[in-house]
Amino acid sequence: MLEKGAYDPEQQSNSEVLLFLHKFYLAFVPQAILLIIPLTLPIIAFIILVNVYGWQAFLDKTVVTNIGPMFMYMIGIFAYLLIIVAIFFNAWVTFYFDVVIVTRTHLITVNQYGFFNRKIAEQSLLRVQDVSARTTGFWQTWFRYGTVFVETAGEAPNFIMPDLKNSQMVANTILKLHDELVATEYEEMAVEGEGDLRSPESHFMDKNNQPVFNTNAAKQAQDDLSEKNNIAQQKPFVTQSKEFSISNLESLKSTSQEIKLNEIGSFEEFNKNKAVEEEKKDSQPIKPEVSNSISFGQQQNQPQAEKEEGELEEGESIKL
Amino acid sequence: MNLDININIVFYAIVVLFGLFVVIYIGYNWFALSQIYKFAYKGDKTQLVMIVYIAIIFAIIAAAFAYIISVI
Repeated sequence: MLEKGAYDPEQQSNSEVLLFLHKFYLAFVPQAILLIIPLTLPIIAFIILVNVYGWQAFLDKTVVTNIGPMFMYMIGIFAYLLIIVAIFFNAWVTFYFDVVIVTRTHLITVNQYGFFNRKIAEQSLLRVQDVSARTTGFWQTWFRYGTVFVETAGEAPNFIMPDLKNSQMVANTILKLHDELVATEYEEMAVEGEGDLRSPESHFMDKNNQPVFNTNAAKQAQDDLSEKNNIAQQKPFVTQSKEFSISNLESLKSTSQEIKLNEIGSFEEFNKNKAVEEEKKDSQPIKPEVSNSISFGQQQNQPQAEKEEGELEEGESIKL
Repeated sequence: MNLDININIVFYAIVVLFGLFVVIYIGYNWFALSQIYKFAYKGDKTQLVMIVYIAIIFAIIAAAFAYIISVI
C-alpha cells in the first residue's frame, strides 16, 4: 500500500501533504443505483418462477432432450450475479481511486479507469494561473461539493477535478499556496542576486509601504544590498576602470595577441607589460598577422594591412 | 448422489463450462485485487471493501456449487 504522499510507487514526494481528497461519496450514488437494479432482477424472477413451476422444478435433473429449465436458469443466475458484482466493484474502484493530492509545492491528480488503468498528473503550483470552483445543481449545492478548475501555464493541460467536497475551500487553498510559493521563490532569487527584492504583490507590503519578507535570508539580503549601495556612493570602485576590469581581459583574449592570464602577477604588472609591448609595437612596422587559433569574432585569415597614404612599398619609387 | 446411466452430456457440459467460467473469474479478480492493493493508500477504506467483495463472490460461487451438487 502507498503512503499518502507517494502518488507513484517509484517516486516519493518530499513535500508535506496538505490535502488528500477522494471524490464525494454522493457522486457514486447514481452509478450504485444503476448497478443495484440489475442485482435485484434475478431475485424477482426467481420468486416468480418458483410460484409458477414450484420448488421441485429447480431440483429436476436433465433428460437428454429436455434440460431442466430451472437448472439452466439457476446456473445462469449465478454467473450473472458474479458479473454484476465485478462490474459494481470496478465502478467503485474507478470512483474511489480518483484522488487529488495537494502538497506545498505540487498539485497531483490520480485518475483511475477500471482495475488496470490509471493516469497520474502532477503540476507545480508555481505554474498555476487561475483556480476556480463550480457548483451546479440541487445536490451539489445542498451537499456543498463541486468541480475545481485549475488553469496552468504553458502547454500543460488544465486540471479538472470533479466532485470534491468543499470545492471553494480547495480552490482557495491552492491559490494561497501558489501565492506563498511565488513569494518564496521571488525572495530566493533576490537573495541569489538575480532579482529585485521588492515584491510585486500589493499584499506583501506593510502599512508604511515597505516590503514584507517571508524569509529571514531575504531580509538579510536586503540589508546587505542597502549597505553596499551606501558604500558605493561614498567610495568609487577602483575596479571600474577600463584597464583593471576582468571583462577587458576576456575581450583581449579574442585578439590575435595571446594572453596567458596565469602569467599575470597583478594588475599593475600587467599594465606595465602592456605599456612596454605597445611601445615596441609603435616602433615596428605593421605586419599582417595570421593566427592559427580560432577565436570568437575573429576571421581566420587576417587581411593585409591597409597601405597608409604616402607609404612606399618595396621596389616602388617616386616618379617625378 | 444418484448417477443415472443415461448421462445427460449437456448437463455436465454446462457444469464444466460454469466451472471454467469460475476459474477465469477468480484468476481475473486475483490480478485485479493485487493491483488495487498495490495502489491503495494506507488508512482508507480499500481493504475493507476488498474483503467484502471477496466474501460476496466466494459466497455466490459456493452457493452455485452447492446447488449443482444437490442436483447431482
